[in-house]
Amino acid sequence: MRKNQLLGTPSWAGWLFVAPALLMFTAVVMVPIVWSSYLSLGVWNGLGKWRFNAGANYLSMLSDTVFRHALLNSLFFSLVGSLIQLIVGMAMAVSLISIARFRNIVRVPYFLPAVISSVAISQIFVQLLSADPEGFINGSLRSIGLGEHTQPFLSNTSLTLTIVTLVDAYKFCAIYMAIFYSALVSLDQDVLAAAEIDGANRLQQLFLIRLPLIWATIAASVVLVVSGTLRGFDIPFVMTGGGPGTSSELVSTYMYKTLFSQSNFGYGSAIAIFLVVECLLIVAIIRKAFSATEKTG
Amino acid sequence: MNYRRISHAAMSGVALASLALVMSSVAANAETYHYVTARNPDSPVIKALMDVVAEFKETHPDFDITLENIAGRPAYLQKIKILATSGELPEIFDADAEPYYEDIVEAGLTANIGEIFDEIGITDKFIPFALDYERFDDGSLWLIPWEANVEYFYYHKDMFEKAGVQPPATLDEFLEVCTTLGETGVTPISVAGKEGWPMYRYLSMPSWRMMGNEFLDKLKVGEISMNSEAGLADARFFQDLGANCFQEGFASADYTTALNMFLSSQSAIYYVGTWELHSLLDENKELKDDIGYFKMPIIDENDATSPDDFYAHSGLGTAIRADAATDEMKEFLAFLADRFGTISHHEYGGLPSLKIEVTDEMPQIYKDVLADMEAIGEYARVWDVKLDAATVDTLFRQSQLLGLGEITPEQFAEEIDRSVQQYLSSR
Amino acid sequence: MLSRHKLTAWLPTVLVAIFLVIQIFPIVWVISASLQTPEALARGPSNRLIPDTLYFGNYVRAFETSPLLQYLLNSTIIAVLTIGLTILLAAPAAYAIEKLRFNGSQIVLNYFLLGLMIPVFVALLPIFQSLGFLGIRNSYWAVVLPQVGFQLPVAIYLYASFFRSIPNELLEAASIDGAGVFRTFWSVAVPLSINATITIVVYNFIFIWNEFVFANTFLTSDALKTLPVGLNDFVSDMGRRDYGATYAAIVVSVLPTVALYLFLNRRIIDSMTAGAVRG
Repeated sequence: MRKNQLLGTPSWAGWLFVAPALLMFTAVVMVPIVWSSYLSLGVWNGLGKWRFNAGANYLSMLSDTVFRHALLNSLFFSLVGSLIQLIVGMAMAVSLISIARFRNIVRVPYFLPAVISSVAISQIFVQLLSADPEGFINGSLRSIGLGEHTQPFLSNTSLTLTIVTLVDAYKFCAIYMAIFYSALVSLDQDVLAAAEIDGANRLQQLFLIRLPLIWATIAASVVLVVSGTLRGFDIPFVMTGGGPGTSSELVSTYMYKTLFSQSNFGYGSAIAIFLVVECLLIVAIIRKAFSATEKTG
Repeated sequence: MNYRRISHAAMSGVALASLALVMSSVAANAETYHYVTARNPDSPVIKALMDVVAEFKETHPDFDITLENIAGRPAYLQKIKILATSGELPEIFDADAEPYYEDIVEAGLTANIGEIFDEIGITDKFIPFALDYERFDDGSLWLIPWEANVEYFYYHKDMFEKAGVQPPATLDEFLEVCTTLGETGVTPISVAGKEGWPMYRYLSMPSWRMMGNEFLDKLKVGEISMNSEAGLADARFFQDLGANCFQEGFASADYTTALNMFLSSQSAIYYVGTWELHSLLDENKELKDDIGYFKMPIIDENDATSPDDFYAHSGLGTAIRADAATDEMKEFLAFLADRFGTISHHEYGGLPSLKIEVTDEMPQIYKDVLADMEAIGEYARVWDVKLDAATVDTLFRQSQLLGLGEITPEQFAEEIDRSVQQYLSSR
Repeated sequence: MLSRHKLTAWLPTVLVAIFLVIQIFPIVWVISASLQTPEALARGPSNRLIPDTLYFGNYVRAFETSPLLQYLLNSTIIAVLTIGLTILLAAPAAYAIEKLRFNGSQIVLNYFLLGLMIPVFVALLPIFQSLGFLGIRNSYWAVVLPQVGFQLPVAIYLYASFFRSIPNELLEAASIDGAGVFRTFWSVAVPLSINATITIVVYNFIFIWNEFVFANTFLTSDALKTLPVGLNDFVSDMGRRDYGATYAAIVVSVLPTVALYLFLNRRIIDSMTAGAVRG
């Protein structure tokens, strides 16, 4: 099926190349997850004996209203966050590639939110969004005559989820900008030149020629961004702690609280396993969708 | 230099560096005790403790305590739980007398501090409520108390004067004072709703005045409902506060923001324990001229608790691992009981858990606080220590929603009861 | 027609300018806030982008309270070791998966991709115990090794997409010349992949530089703390934070990375022009 392999390579060579990474990855990532699935089938406070409870943890997820809220919030966080990161990342990359000068200089400040730590970004935005005492955003709203929109953003349960989603997307969109940018830059100039001669305008060039050419890069980015946002943690945890109420609780922040503030290692591990399975399913669907479009397109 | 060379050089360099860096783990000295603490190294407690260690070392040169500070309660708890679960608790660590620490004690991991104190004869040197606060319900003591804190409402005198109000004696008056203050355009109270505990203090005041600690003791074991008279009184009081008294956005305000609001005169009232007293003092170690304080208001003269009784506690306690309670450690603790109180108070302005002598040159505010401590009959127990962690989590979410007016007192009560029941049935 | 043409010509520049303003906004705000007096900061969050005072006391306090330069050094060492080791392991693995076809190579790739789905918290306890078993807790390795494990999937994923795009003829030519598997990888594939490597470094660096959970859990001595963990040095017992010093520390922790990116910029651009992530 794959035409891409080298001729005359002994099979052991492949395994030798892959073995160190395989060992490291298995030890650090896979062994713990197996261990967690074992923990998830029982009750354990971390001190006494682990007691088997036959999937009761998974059953209690069904009736746990906090978990249900967290799951819905997480899906929103991931869907909206991914879309923003990809679209804004693409818009940044395309606009950057379309300007003639200063590209190199502009790229560095573009990366600033990504290199500031999540904890720091969160603290900065908490200050910006403060209501009493008034922070930058409320102050600006008032001074441009939108005083009626000033409000305690992070205490408004109908806004907190959107806010943490936006801040998280804001922090990471430069990464996708970088990936798209490098893919776009590396496109064959001859093809583009030919398109220009054919009279395609810029937008047509972008959607009909450039984007299809980097389709595989886009697919890879979608997988990265979705798996990243489904596990998103730091920014909601620092900015709102999941609150007020459950308004910005995500599956990952709830898992963290269950594990480390409630010491409920059984239930916490069950949530972790749920998160892994959820992520697997969603990514499998995405990859399926992309391979389908690749075949038809 | 071409890429090929750069890339090869980089890769070989890393490979070499990886091999060359040999790891060494420091062998633990038998008389060095590792202390993992949630307290800041600059706090009066840690500074005084390390001074005592230094003095003790003059006669016991091999003795030492090494500090590992983990700031921020969530980060600290995560760390200590990882250590406990791996069976690697440090010789000394901080804990509250809450249900999880009870599990640690039941597992036989830590030393019985109460017995040690009796054995070396230092129990009487502590302020009784400071010891009692760290005890479990059965009266046993497994934690060393460091501080003695009482919690007051502090207020700006000029703001009260401008609004024409007096410090309230009753909780009803308290709400009225807030409303009147609000009408003059000031924020009546700043509260750190993101921290949890400041909310629970307010929440618990009516039930504590009505029933004393009986309410919490019964709530915890499911013998009384949050949907009872006292429970609903709590919920209604808190909802009123959220609607009329707290600053806008209180649910997302952290400790620093709420405190700074009060210190910079942007809120009229602030509730805090005496651990924060140093922020409220002037250069003469007296309360700033503009700041006054009052105790937790009462409901009326039929209250179960006296006006002199209110929140008092010794804060985060410290555990000693069972095998670290050596004779030398006991000797150190005896020495600590003699020196810690004085050093903590005189050098660093702290209010220690050990009895200290009231002297004439002591600032008036300290004399008053110590007198108040003396007058306490029963002190209020802290909800977030007594209740299990899952219920505290529910309490946290539901208090925010209650204060924001998004749920009714009845809904609040229902959620708390359900959480308590869930905990009891899982036991 | 003309004005429309002009609009499309100017649109990218306008967009770039808007993005630029948005992206630099928080750092401008935090620099300005870090230059205000504690009294001003206590009155409320800073509402200024241009500081009205040039107060450097926050920086003095930040360096007094906290060994920031030591943290900076620790963060750098950990980042270099982690990235180096990740690349050292990921490049040959991806090369083998894509180019040295062996039975089950596609399964191996999918196995690595599983790592993208796993939240780090589930790994804390087992890793903590294994590190103790290996006796490397409280060394740089205690943070480096777990991070390498979690960065491998992305690195392998990106490398694999890159190697897929290299024509086999290029590599086969080398092996016809008599180069073995290792020589072909080392002298043909590695030099070709420098561009992909830089993308991976840039991508992974962001996560490694900001890593908090492993560093907080596995390191116990102050001498090994990293910058993100060090930001907690400015919090007192009850949660009171010295915001002025925190802002100063944030600025101090960002500047070296910006300098690094500026320095590497030329390189990155040049190499990225040649191609990076391809499908």
